[in-house]
Amino acid sequence: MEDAGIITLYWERDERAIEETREKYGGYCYGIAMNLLHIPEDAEETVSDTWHAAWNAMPPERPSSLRAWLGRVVRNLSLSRWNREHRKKRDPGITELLSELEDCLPSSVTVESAMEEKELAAAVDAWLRQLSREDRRLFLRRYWYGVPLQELAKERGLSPARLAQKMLRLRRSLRAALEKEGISL
Amino acid sequence: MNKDRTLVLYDAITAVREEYIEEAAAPCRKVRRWGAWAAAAACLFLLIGSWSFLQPLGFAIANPFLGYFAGRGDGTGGGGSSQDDTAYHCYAGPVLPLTAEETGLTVERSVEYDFSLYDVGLRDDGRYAYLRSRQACLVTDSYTLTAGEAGTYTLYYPFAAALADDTVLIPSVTVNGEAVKAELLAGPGGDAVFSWEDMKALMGDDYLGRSLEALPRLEERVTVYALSDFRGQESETAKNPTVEFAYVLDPARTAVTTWGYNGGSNDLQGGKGTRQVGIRDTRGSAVYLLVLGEDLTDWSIRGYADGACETLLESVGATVTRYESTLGEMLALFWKNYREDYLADKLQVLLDKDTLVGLSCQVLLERSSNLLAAVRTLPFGLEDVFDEVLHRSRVLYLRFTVVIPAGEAADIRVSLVKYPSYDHTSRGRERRGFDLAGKLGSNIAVTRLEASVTGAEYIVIYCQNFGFETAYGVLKTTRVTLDPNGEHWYMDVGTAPMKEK
Repeated sequence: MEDAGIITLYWERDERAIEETREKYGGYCYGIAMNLLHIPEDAEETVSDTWHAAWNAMPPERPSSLRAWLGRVVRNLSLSRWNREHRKKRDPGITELLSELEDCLPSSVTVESAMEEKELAAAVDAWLRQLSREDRRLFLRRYWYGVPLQELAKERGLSPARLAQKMLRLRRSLRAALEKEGISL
Repeated sequence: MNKDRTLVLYDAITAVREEYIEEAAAPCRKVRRWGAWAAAAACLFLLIGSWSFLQPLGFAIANPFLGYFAGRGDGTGGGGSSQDDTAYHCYAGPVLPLTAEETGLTVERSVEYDFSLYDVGLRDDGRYAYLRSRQACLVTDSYTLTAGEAGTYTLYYPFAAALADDTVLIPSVTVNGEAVKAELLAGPGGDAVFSWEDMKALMGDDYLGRSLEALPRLEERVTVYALSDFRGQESETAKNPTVEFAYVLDPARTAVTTWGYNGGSNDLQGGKGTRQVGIRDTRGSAVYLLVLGEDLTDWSIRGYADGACETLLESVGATVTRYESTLGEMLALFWKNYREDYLADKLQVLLDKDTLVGLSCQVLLERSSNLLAAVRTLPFGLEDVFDEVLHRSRVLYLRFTVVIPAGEAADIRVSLVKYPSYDHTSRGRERRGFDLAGKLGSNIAVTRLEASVTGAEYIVIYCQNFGFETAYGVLKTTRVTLDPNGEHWYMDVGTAPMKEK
């Protein structure tokens, strides 16, 4: 079913919306959740929570890209679960991602307002825009979809060491871009 | 770890534009390794040897998709194509037709897709089952070639691949039953190819002719600053000893690019810049900064405790050697190092170094004919050029000659392991696509064209336009005659699983 049809089902409060979403995006959402949480049971529950979140959000939400919208929900729910259950255990997945993302942090203080968060998102967007398409995909495959480095290396046909070097360059490039924009974190 | 700050960044990344999220949804490219193929071959042997005892173990082929097929293209006649049916997240390209340098040749062509390459292996519970990691099929593309006049003909067998793909993709060729040694040629790279339509666009405008053109050479002088003999690797006070090369240049007359560095910064207006490299990342190899145009007006190196380059350490440093060379010579050196470090089992080792250098020059010149401008488009240095050379979608050719005596024909057989096109997410199920090109890029007239499937019991068909008879995805006929003037055929298949009796 087309995304527009699925969204219409949500707006009509038709429970087939969840079945259709599960059918079309179940694997996609589970893949992201597994990448971020690494525990099948947690990933399944997160995906299940995602369907509930979608049901509660539409209406009033009407996503222009259902896939991207669902992916964001999975990322947010995965982060919440990680914060709740795994943060102190230093489980892999999000822990690794956050550790790597430290390389991107400009040296400064803290974010104090939602406005600054929006500025940060805009700066990340602008930085992504000036990357080559392949580098942009590479960055987002790792830091949005959480694809493990080994798997990403296979996808790109690079040695893991070379990929790690490339990812480091990308992270440092983002840090430089944020510093240039005067972004404080 | 400062998680609060990284969580803010995590949230910002979550909020990036939807188009970027969509763009990154699919894997970049499926890699095919020699090791994986060796394992597949070994398991094929295992399959052949063990099939006789698989059945007694209680397994049978079953189709779990009964009632699943909507009939979209299933079992319909061939020759047409549909963008919807042929667009993939990872498109492997079709089986392409043989072509020739000379005109006046005709062929009868037969293409066999053998899906018997599935592995059989032990499950966790100790019982035999399919391992679905082997997705390829073995294609045998056979030609009976006749010519209007007796003579020696130069033939080109094309196959779609990025150079980062493995040697296993190189087809083997026999002429009249004898193996022939064919020369490998790389066609020019194009934009990412996701569909049959993209493939047609890539191969348009005399692709073979462009593949045979001489590659460019870049003889522009460059001033090289090579950093080697790094010191401070064992420093106990340094978490990640890092050397920074800082420089000043005239932005109107000079541009720099690098090989081997981790990162850096540029102030294009002020002409100041830095490049950093973690000593441990170099693994003892030199790193290079190449200056195009006028030389640097000033430079220095400093050692730091880590990649943040905030804590100076005098014990960390390197030897700087300055010399002059050409961009082409330096690219040749980098390709030599790169091949030794990373490419032991890759397709491009069969291409000579000059070709790789030429392809790199091609990539640079496509960015700009002004080399200063071209290297400024490389945020991560010449590694970006290498990545582009290796990962661009392109068609490669095997070139070989065949002698056709008067009144006789030559039998040419090409065998290739064909990995499928993938579409991971759009239909909520596995989708592996295999397609066939009729005349794309070929000047040989086809008088008869057949396609067949071997190992049909190992697959189910989701959709196809070859014209095979199917019932609920199971092939009922395994051989079809196709329109010799047809353009394109496709089939999407899934794995027929085994179930216990």
